[in-house]
Amino acid sequence: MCNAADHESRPRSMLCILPPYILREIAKNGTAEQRAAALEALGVDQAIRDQRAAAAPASRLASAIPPKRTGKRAAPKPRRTIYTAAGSQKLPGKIVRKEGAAASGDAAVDEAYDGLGATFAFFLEACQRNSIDDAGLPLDATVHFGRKYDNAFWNGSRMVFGDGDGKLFNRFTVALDVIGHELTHGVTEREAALVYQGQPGALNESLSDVFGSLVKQHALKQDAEAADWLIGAGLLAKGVKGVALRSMKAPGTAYDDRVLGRDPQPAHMQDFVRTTDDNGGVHINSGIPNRAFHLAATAIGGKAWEFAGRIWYEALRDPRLKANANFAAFAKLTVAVAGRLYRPRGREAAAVAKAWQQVGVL
Amino acid sequence: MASDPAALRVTLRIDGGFAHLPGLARPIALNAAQLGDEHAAQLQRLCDSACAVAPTRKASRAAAVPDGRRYRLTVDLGDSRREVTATDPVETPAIAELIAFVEKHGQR
Repeated sequence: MCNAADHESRPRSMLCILPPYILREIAKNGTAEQRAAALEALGVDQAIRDQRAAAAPASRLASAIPPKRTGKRAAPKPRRTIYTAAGSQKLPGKIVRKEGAAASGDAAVDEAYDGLGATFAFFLEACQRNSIDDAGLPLDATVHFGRKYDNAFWNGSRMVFGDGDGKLFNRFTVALDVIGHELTHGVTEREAALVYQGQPGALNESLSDVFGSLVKQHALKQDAEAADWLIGAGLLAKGVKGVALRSMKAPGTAYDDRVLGRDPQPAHMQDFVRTTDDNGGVHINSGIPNRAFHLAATAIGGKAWEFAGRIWYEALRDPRLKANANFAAFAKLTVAVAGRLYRPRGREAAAVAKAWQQVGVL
Repeated sequence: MASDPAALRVTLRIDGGFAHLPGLARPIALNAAQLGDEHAAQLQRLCDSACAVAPTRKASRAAAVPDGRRYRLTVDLGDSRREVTATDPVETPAIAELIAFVEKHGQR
């Protein structure tokens, strides 16, 4: 486990989690992308928190910043517990791996454990957030939920993953961004609490895709240009015609399969889908803000979590973001936040504004 | 419920979920007449059990959790129609078993 942080001017990182797992099976479906990751768990430097507080004077941030401390202190660490439902739908199930325990040998258990660790590391290092609630909330997950269950969800207190049916889907822990996606629902719930319906619901889904993808990019240390911007790469079983469940870069192109149908995500507001299904299309219209994030991140360049990700994160935490916010409200907020964090009318704010214009939101 | 297994028809609609894909949103239909006697009788028992424990329509409108799926089972037998709804996690075994049975034996 990682246990080191000090109070030098920069956080000190330690290579601490080497997930041997996650993405071995991703070569399925012909994507052929092999992933290897070394994760760092960084200590949170007080100076970063101080800078952040100064940069964000009027936000929920204030309550989340711990009192200034002196002397050495331990870096926040994840507190993970993985349960198995053993094919039932009973939650939480039976504990199979606790924090610090050795790998279990059960792929789903170990992928969930390592994926929660990677997600915790991302929020700590990139967002200076200590777990879902920014107060070290333990991270719980249940795997082997149901029989051949083709889904993963967040039930308000834990992440739940099915094994997939093996014909259409592999197990849902196989993709790191899926784990990051589910955990981000917990973050969103505690910040803007975006209602899970219509545009705010699609925004809620998009934020989970954005931070889910950033968890993966962070683990792989990828630049925005190098990232695949796919959600659920490796999740589709062999033989299914598709590369993932969603593409943030090119919404509507992730799959086109005889059984699964064709990816219905729009890439522009002119193609916004009005439907009563899926809570008003929350997993469909999320393609629009997803693409806006991709456009902003690639226009700014570098590591997507350093600028675009920070802007989206601070917008999510901004008290002006209402629970029923639509795309345009969030878009305007991200432009304002970009100006506040960097320079008003600077290149970051301009890139963000242009991205939202390109998808027809602004 | 009446006791003619051969006339029983069940339709399952699954909505939402992390993997909300158009192909999976198509209803799954299962006719008892297409099943062998043993499975038809099992379907009848599962429907009886699920309908007996199904919450009222109002109570079953609980909001889905993020990425949770909604299930709507329509059980037709002659002129009688019963509807059973549930959301993830499906904690009622009788309903979970009926959903699993229809997914396994039914056709989209």
